[in-house]
Amino acid sequence: MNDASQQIIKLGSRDELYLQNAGTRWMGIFAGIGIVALAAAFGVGASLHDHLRQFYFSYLTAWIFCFAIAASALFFVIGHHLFKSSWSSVVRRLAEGLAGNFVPLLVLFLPIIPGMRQLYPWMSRMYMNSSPDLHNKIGFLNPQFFALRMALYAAALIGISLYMRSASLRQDQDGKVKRLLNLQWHSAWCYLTIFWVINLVGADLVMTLQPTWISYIEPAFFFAATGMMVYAVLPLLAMALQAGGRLKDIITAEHYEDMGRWLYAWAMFWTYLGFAQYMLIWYANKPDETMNYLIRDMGPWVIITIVLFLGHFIIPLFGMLPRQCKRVKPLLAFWCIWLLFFGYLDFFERIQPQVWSATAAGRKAMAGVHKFNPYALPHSLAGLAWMPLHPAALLTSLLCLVGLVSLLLAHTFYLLQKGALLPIRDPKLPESIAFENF
Amino acid sequence: MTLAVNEVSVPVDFDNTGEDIIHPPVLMTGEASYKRVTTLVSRIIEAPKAPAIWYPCFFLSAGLAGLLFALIGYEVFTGVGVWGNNSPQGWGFPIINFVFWVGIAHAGTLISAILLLFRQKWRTGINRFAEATTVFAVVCAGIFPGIHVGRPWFAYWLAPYPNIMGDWPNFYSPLLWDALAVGTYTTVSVLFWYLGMIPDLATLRDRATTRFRHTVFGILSMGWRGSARHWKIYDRALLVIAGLATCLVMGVSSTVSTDFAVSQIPGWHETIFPPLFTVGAIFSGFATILFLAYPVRAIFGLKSLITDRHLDNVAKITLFMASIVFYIYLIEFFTAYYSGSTMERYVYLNWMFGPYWWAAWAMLVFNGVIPQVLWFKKARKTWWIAAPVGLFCLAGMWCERFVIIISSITHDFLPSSWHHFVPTWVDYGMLAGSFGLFFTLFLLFCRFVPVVAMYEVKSILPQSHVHLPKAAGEKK
Repeated sequence: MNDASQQIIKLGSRDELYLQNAGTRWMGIFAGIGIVALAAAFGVGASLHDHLRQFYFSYLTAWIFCFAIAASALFFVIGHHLFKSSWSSVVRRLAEGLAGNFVPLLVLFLPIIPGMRQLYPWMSRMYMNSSPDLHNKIGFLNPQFFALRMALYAAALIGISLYMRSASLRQDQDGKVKRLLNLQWHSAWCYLTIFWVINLVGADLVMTLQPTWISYIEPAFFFAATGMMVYAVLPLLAMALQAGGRLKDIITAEHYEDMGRWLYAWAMFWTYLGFAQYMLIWYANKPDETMNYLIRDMGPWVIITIVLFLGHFIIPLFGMLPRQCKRVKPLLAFWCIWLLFFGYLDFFERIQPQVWSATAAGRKAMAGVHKFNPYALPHSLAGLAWMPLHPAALLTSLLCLVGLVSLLLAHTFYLLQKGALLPIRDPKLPESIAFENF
Repeated sequence: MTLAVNEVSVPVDFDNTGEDIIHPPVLMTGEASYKRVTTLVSRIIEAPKAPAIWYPCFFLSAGLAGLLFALIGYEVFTGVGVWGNNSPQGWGFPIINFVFWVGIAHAGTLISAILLLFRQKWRTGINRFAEATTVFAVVCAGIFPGIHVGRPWFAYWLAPYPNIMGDWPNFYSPLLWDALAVGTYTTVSVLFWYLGMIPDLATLRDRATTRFRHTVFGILSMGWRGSARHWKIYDRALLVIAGLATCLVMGVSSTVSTDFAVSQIPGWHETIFPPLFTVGAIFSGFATILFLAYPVRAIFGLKSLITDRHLDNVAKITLFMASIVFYIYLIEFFTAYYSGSTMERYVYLNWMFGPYWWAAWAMLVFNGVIPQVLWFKKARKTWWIAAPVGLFCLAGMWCERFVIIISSITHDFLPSSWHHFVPTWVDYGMLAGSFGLFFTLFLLFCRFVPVVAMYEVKSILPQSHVHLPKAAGEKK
């Protein structure tokens, strides 16, 4: 087995491979921004005098966005091992850092708990008894079972991400190839487990915001929205580190091109599933399905729906096609930020129109689903549906997003500074560094 | 044997399924020379006689294909009443068979194209006959909607053309989308298959010993000379068609799913149908290869080119796709329960415990449970386990189509219109006949067309990549 120090000399100096003090500095900066932004979000949310309803919806949207980044990073790491990939070895440690955020995410989920009754109508037994279809779901939609499911998801996500990262770090120390083989061996069941967990988190935290609505594809559609995130964040993280003098000659245009290709592919996959859902619901025109889109077809929401379609599909479809858009760093950075924005907008549109259903009048309207007609909603209720788009509500959402993303980055830098920025004794690393696209 | 510079050799029975992180895997066993690749594949076509077992297989298949055409004649002259189709089940076996074969038809091109885009070098051992299964399955699939229209001589009404009656196809109907999609797909998959064969057809032309053979392969190889310019254009064309074919396959398999999903019938109207049909297509394609590869390599002596590692990879992907198919089944059951709707729930209870319970259980066990045996390496390496698993998966996919088409519509919203579907001997005969047609074409393909892509295998031999680390097991 090669000596680790010899490989390090070949790869570059210690300054180029470790974050060292810069990690602590960035951790502090992001943690500060995160705490201040969340405090401000709470303040602005409280000033709306809606019993923090908007704050909870804004917070949940931002939390789902952060969850998507961490979960997609974990899916990326496991996929790297499962498919015995070599090109991605140079960015594997960065993805492991992003995937190591499930413990802080669990802690950051705690503020959602007091708002559960605002967010999820099914928390009310009276509401669930208001129609036969809802009553039939009580076995699944009840607080106890929900808590049990969340505990299982958290255990799977935390356990698998800790194993993936710790085995990788241990290989840096002892250089045993067997660790990599073990990771590859375990990756198959881990891959399926995490795939299921992401789907079910989508069903539990997003689809049940509207308990009367069903779509068979919604969990998979949520998975598609989630899976894209890591390919937007990883290039930006790599570029930031390279700007700070790290990994300079290690992550090359070839790696950026592959990450860009995957970003493009996931954006198109999202479109495929989204179109399948929309077209089939539009065609069949069943009230218990169309209610999801009708509420997003009202007032300003229709603009967001159209902008999302253009920004997440049409514009990247042509804009990202040229090879240079994936190889030239500023161009790729633009597309990463672009798709991160539209990825957030997608979650925003999945979650925030449901603010209206968090009121007693909204729940009553939604329970009588077969008579549901959003165009006939009382003006006050229709106005409520647009509330997330009011400036103060948007500011709350923005502050929640900045706050949670900053805390996620702070913890990522904390993890990254604990070891090398590369799996320095990964036998595939030389092949990865020398990787070229055909 | 003395080998030329850079040529390497491992025994023909070398176990290349082992994991070696540093060295690239051995993808050809025995003497790994360009000449041997050409000889191994070309001799199948150039031999005056096929292997002995080929003849009974061919005559059995051709007999079944003959039965299919005889039954088609019987159906055309008698009417669609020869089938078990009756209200409310107007679709019956013809559409089950169509969807089953079109699923397999989607798989070959998709497998080949996706593996090309993902730079999977091991694809070279299996891509040619994967693409061939596509073309032959399309032929089988295309027959059934054609005869199902009842008066096949009017099938051209599906095409939009100006006529004095002012008739125009109703493009709100997914059946029209289907006809256009499958037609487009057939064109592209034939092109993809044929394009991939051109250099190999030129090899056969250059090796031809008779004028007839030289002329036939000369015409088919379209003047291929193997110049650098030819290769540059060719590689680019293949990559572009692979990219287009991947998108097209997803689009077409999704379109087939809309035949059902745009309706309001519980069990048909499921928004997850487009990905289910796409995943099911890939799954059935890999299952087909898993089932066919063992006899093909045994009969034609291709173990050096279709190695254990190729089949191990095919088995792993079959398992992976089976897991996704199984995920979708479970999501279907979960969502039906979660809907709280009595009718949605009834459909799935009827699937599992109604008159066609056997089909639903076969679907779940064959597609979801049995493939799980492929988690074990010993099972993947044992032909009498892996090949039957492929067969079970194919049977499971046929049952899935039976469940969707028959179980759902025979018990729709109105109990007074419920009617039990009973297939006739003509239904069974046509199903068997379609397999006969498929295998007839496949056996002819194996005998007269290069069954493995020779030039692609050569491109992945170590001597084509002298700058890479040596392969595992390779002589140092």
